[in-house]
Amino acid sequence: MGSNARPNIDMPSHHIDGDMLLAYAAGTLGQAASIVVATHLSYCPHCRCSVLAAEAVGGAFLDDIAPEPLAQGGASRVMDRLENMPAETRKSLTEDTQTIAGTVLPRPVRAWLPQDLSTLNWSWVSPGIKYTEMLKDANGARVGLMLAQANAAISAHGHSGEELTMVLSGGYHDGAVAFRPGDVQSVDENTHHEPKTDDDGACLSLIMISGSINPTGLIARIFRYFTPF
Amino acid sequence: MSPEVGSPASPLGEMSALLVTLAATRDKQIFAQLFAYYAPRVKAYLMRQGTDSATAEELAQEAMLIVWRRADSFDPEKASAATWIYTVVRNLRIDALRKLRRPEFDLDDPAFVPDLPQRPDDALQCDQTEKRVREALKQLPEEQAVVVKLSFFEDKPHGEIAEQLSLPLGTVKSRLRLAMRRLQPLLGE
Ligand SMILES: [Zn+2]
Repeated sequence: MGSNARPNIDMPSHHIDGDMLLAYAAGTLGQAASIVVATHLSYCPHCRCSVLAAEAVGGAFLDDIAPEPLAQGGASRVMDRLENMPAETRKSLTEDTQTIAGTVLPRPVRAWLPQDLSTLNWSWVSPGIKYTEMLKDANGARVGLMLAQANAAISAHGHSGEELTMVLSGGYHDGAVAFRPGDVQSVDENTHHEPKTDDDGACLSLIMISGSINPTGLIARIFRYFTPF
Repeated sequence: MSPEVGSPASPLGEMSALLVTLAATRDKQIFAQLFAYYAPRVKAYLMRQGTDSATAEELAQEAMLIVWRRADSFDPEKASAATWIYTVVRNLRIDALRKLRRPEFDLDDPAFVPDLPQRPDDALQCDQTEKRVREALKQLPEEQAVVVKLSFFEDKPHGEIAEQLSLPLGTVKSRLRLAMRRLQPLLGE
């Protein structure tokens, strides 16, 4: 897939699973996972197409549902309010030139980080690996940024739920499988995996963990920093 | 069902055309037609998801006011009016009821990777989405259709839907993945 001429990011080759895209479209996916999905969608025309299809299911259900009459006067109250409501113009975004590991972060990540990225609160969780938490959602799932130096073993064992990783810059291998910017890896507690960052530079990724954390392994060390065991 | 779904005479095409006209003219009579069709459906949809009648009414009015203000950002190439209004309602519900900001990608994001015009097959798949999705939705095997419907109407995570159906979560997920493959087959899969 890498033959087109765009500069930085090829079409990702590891995508978000269909059930998660559907939950995102239905509005039922947790906040932490939604951040990873929205970030992948910034990079991935294929998955945007799938989300559009899932949203079209919502549109079809909306068209097909038996209408529920509005309360008396509801329509005219809304019509009366139109006068004072001008069209919204798209707000132009201020250009952000701040980078982490040489990368300007996509909006869905940027929106949950402080204005000034130099104030980010990184913690060293392992030699060569630091982490900063962006958000813990209502279900206890956490999402944050992980910055690992070249040749670091970013094994993340010992938690009961799902783990979702998306590369933002650099890359890693899990066995023979390569993960490049935009690629997503989803594993559960039963998956044995040995991710290792590539030897040609640092790897920045977005990482989401759900479920309870077993106090062994890297991810446990990441989260022990925030959660007293 | 009706083979003319998606043709200009059906609500799918008719309502989308109205919404495009609204963006261009800001004509209140056009808005009134969209309101008459969608506001009661939005209210019904929210009630189906468990919102009480008074809140559903309020959110339906609020959603239609967003339609009035943001009609300009409706892109008929990407979605039908029904789908676009569905997304307005979904986001409003998340904002209002859960007090959360929904993570969304942004077309103006400098890091955004646009659709690839040099791959015409992709573009074709996206253009055809609405009509094809509605056809594919009707053809889904019953066990897939059930979990898709619950995903949209129950406002619950898939884990709770699995409990409700007394199915393992893995089964619910795999049915949804199969359904998504029928609704939007990806190239190269
Ligand atoms: Zn993708």
